[in-house]
Amino acid sequence: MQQTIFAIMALAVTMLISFNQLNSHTQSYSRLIDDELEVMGSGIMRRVMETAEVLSFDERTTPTVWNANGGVEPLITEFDLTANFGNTPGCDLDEPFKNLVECDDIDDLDMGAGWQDVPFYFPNGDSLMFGVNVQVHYVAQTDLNTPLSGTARTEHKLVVVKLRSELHTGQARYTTGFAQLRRVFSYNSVLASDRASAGP
Amino acid sequence: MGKVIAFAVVGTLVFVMVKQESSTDTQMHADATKVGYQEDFLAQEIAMSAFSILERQVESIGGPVDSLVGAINGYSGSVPNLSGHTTGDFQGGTYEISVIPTAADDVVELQAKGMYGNESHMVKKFFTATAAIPVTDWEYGCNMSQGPNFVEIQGLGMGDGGTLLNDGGSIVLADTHQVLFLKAQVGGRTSNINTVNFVTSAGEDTTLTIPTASGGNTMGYFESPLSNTSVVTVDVDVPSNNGARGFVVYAHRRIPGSHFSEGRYMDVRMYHNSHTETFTIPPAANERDVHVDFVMYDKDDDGRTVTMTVEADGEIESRTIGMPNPERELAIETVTIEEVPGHVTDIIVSIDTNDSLYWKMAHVRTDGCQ
Repeated sequence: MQQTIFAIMALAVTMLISFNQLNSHTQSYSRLIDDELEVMGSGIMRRVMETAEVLSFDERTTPTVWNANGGVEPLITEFDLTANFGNTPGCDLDEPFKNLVECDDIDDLDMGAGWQDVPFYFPNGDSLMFGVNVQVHYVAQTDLNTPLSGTARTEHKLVVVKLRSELHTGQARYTTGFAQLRRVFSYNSVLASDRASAGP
Repeated sequence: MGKVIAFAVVGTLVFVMVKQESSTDTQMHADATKVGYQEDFLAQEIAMSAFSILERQVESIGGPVDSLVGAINGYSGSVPNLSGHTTGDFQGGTYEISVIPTAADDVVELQAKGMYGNESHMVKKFFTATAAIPVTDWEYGCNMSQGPNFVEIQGLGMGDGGTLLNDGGSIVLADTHQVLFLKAQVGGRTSNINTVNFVTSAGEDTTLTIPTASGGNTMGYFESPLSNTSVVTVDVDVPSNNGARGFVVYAHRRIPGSHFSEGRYMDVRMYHNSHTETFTIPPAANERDVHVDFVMYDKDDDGRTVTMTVEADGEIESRTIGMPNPERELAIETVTIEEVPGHVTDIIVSIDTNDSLYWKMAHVRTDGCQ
């Protein structure tokens, strides 16, 4: 009898331990999925940055406006105010060159607090949707980490890309995103002039 | 029966423990790999951001090579530091930017290194510097997409021949933004000047013992190029009071828009006579204002006058002064002809004086090139 009771208790403990191990296994798989999402997401964030690379620094330095001003370089005070960032309909992050008229400079990427669905494409043609938020700020050359407020304008724009996914298991990740990437883009007058010479 | 169950339980526990250990190892390996990947990814972004900043700075300065190296890498004494760099922090990591001269005369390599955690990433690009700082004259045309396009002139009078008012002094640049380089100059009777020392707030320290040039009647000047700084201080060692006449700083800037600037070192010793030279400005589609800055050393305040005249397409603007400005014995004056027709390219500049003075420089510039 004693042995039987002992055996039953041992079975119960074993079941609990096995259940715990299964649970741990499940968490491990969840982390694996999160890792995969983060790898895919980093590709999307890098794609957004590559889009920003080919855009003009400011509306004032787009080829159309540059040539309309006779090739005269802008003053810093002619750059867009932060309050006006993203006022145009903005850029389609999946196919940004569908709308070259309104997605032609870096601050057109700014979408305030909103999110845009951007697909990650698999080789077999399937896709997985991620939410992307992009914000653009002016920063000082001496402090790239602190966005400037008000009407301050500089020759350096900070692009902040955030990423979220319904599948990611991190706490509050869907509200604030599970990954963030930042890059600074500086005004380059030679590049602006060359682009203007090549035409819009 | 109980023993069988006991063996089964022990066996199960062992199996679970081994499986758990294996799973933990796998997860740790995956985490380490992921961290490494993420650190490398961020290091790349930090490097690219730093390179963007570096490229803008270098493009603004333009050249020559020494100015680029000094501005980015810093100075070791008065010599650009070839092994130095500028550092900063961004996005949780750090960056270093530097300019490295190459075997080619005017070509440098721009380097930006981003570091995050245990990973780092380097971005490099070759850049061709603009030509060396002109020793004397300069001309910045309308179509120059980099390098200076405007020169600002400030000065300090240093003596009147009989009494040395200042054997030293400082000139402060109110705005150092987009100043590519400076030229500091002391003019006067060079045979009576032993040494001229320029020290800047950026740490450059230059001593000249040989005049850059000596003009007529021993009037000449000492001049040195300097990197961008907010304060330039001069100290002059003279055996007698009859030496230095003035201290001038020329700030070569790049300002927005297209502009024309030509500086000509006249180096004319004048005595109760006149002198005329012709400058050529580019044609323009529209009218533009033409400004001429005159720099004259040895201008006294005893009532003798100098008349500066600028003529364009028959229109004449002139101004006569008696007193030196800013002070004895240096005069820096500007004469402007407004709305010069676009087809007019010849600008005739002249001085007529009953004084003795050293006409050092005439600087012809236009607002815009359209």
